[in-house]
Amino acid sequence: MSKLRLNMSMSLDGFVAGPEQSEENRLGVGGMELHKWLTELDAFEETHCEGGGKVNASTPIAEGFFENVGAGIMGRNMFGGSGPRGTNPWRGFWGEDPPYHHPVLVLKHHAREPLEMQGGTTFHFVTEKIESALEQAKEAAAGKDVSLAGGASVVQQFLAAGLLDEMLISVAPIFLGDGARLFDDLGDARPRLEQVQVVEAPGVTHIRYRAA
Amino acid sequence: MAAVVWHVTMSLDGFIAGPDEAMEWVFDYFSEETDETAGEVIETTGAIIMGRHTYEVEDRYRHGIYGGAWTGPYFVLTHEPPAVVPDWMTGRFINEEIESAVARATEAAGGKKVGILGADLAKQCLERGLLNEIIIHLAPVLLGDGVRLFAAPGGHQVRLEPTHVGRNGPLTDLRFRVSSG
Repeated sequence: MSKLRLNMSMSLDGFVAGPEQSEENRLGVGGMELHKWLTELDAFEETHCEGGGKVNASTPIAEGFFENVGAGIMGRNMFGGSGPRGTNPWRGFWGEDPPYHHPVLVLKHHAREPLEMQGGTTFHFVTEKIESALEQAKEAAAGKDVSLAGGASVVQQFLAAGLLDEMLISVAPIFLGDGARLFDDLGDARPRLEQVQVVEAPGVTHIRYRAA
Repeated sequence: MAAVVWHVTMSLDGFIAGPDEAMEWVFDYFSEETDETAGEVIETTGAIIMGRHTYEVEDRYRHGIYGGAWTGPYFVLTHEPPAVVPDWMTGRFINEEIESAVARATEAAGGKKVGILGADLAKQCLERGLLNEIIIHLAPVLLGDGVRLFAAPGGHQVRLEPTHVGRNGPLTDLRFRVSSG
């Protein structure tokens, strides 16, 4: 059974980005601190550009991000919005060889043709509801799991609709005080969670939750 | 100098109390009386300080601190101490600056730790460099609204030093030393 999974780094006080987010500083003030555990790993190279050289208890966690993942879903902002004026067609800000290496469904208001990148990543643009996007992603994943890439508002929509099966939250030992919250705007939805794994690692605690 | 410790249970979405200060959810996830970490905290705490509001919320559910599992000198900080103090109350209302309250509690703790109850008081202690340790039981629940563990509009970064992580039944125990400076 194909699952919808999420990996997210969060501050101890619940933020996935700091205050004053901008085009130049997409993670806001202090937001990079949340990802320090990941960027200093050697395993970071597998999913992104350059590894940080370290191998520790976080390594299997990072290596597992895309394990058994056949497709992804992300919001339009995470893809890169509609791009700077005059860039046509806009190819997102993940570069020509995005770190996904699988089909990624981008939730968007306007339909457009799929965008095939290098390395196995193809962006498909979906204008339908999240339920339909999930169905299409599962089909694309061909029996494997679907990874929900973010951002926070997209995660909230899937959470509120009770569609998320598993969450791996990497808690960084810092308070940010303000910024973008991961668990916000859930309305009356109170998804029930079960803690299934706790991993202590340098500068971070990874906790895996399953929908109960 | 005794360590000043903030011991609290938090929801995954960062609340230490639900809407209208609801605390029932905490009892769903653990009972302090049987919990090892909480037991150790109760054992090593010599005195407690809390705000008036926290005192009233604590008292609304169960008489006594930690439901009566902890006994000792405690101080309730308020600008308006009530004229009549309940006769069963073993603590004292005090109207003074936080620094003096911490000094007073430290003396009363007799070498043991000083416990802080309540997010507002804890944040004030943190901002004044009076807090040494934070112990959090992280519960697998989303409350959606309520009293936040830490809120500083505009942002305020505080780096913590993890000293312990442990799985505690349905909860994750997280302990941090507050970095000085």
